[in-house]
Amino acid sequence: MSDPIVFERVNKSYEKPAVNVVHDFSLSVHPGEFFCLAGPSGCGKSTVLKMIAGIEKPSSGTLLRPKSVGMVFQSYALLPWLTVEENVAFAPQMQNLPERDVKEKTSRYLVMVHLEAFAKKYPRELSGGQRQRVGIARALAVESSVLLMDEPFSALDPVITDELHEDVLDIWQATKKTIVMVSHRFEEAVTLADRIGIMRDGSLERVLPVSLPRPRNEDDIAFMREVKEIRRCLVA
Amino acid sequence: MVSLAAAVTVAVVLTVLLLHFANPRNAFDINRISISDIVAATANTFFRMLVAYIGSLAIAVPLGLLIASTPQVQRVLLPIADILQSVPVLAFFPVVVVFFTTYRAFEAAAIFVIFITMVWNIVFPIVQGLHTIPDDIKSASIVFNVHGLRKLRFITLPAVVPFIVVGSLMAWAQGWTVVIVAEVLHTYIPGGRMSQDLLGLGSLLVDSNAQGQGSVFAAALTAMILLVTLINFLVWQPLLRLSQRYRFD
Repeated sequence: MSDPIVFERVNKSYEKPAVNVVHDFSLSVHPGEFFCLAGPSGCGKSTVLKMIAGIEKPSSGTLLRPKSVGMVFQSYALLPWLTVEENVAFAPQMQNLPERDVKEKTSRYLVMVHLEAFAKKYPRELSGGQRQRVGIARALAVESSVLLMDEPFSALDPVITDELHEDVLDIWQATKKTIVMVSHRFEEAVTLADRIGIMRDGSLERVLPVSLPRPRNEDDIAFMREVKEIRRCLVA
Repeated sequence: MVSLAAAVTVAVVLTVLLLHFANPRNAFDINRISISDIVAATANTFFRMLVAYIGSLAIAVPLGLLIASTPQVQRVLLPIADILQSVPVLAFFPVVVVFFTTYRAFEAAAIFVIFITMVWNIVFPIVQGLHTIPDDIKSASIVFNVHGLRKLRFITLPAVVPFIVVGSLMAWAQGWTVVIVAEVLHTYIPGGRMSQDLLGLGSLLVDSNAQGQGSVFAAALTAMILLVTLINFLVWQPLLRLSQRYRFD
């Protein structure tokens, strides 16, 4: 069973400089769903994700969050002095698991992201897409029911991004995890998510369900209508 | 290649330490210097540099971590460290020598001055290095529950490896300059005699020059160049290459 994620009238502000990043934010993410927070840069969506991860604490309001999460970062956040397999093993190692379990998990998730042949390489020797696969494998190796993704594909080219979209959907369907992803690309949000939370100026403007069947095609009229709907929310 | 260099380095260090302890004599007559004296002087100088460096590293790493620990601590400690590092070490060397010679700790006087020269060269790069750790790495350490000593071991210390290596390189470069002066104690002791100098490449260079012993000067200079080159080839070049692996893009 997936851990619940529930925000009730959550605010997040900083003192220096004084700025209110997230205000009156209420949201419930359903167990096992693929939820995407979309909105323009600086609208507070990454702060919301960081609050779910426990990196930031709400200034006020109530937040129910899972005890542990796996997280994928925009800049990959890999440790350059560790090999691919050591980076993936890092998460279970920090959970004090026996060496045998660490090895088994590392091997399983490297296979899942198709990087078993690169196990002994260092991050510097990999392409951007491969590095992000390592980041995904490391996040999966936490084996939490929740996977957070902070603009994971924004630094990658479109071809690699399409490949990774397919892989992430496969992983999501295989693992039944709750995924919360942040993206400023509306097409990406519609391609992947069950529901899209549209944020503007620190507030959740609207939650939009995406009822299109998968795999979704960007050239479909219905797909374009969904993207247009998101844009309309932000312009209104 | 790296492990071979490390093995050779350890062997050289152990040999030098053994040589030093086998030959603790510091007294020498500049007019009767033999090849074995040059070898002993080389070992002694290296020993002083090594002990000063180990001490510098032991102080610089925790001090750098402390200075960069919080913005508040940094605001207080960084200016203090900045002032301390800008005080020329040789300005207070006479005081240091007088203090240590009171306890007949001549060796300690030289090592202390080299230590003071080296330590700031390592502290400031460490502080700088700690600020280059990307925010996403810090966030990842929270998400993956890496705190306290584990964070120090698995993230913080590896992240500053390139900065420690570069700082160490600068520290040794400064150390070579100061060791030449630090071994010539007699110039800082009121009424001092040349026989009070510590046997080392620095004292051989200065004293042989003062006595017009050109061949001793040339031999000491050659030994120093060889030692610096050997250390650079066996230690710093492999370490610099290795440290590239620890750099964030």
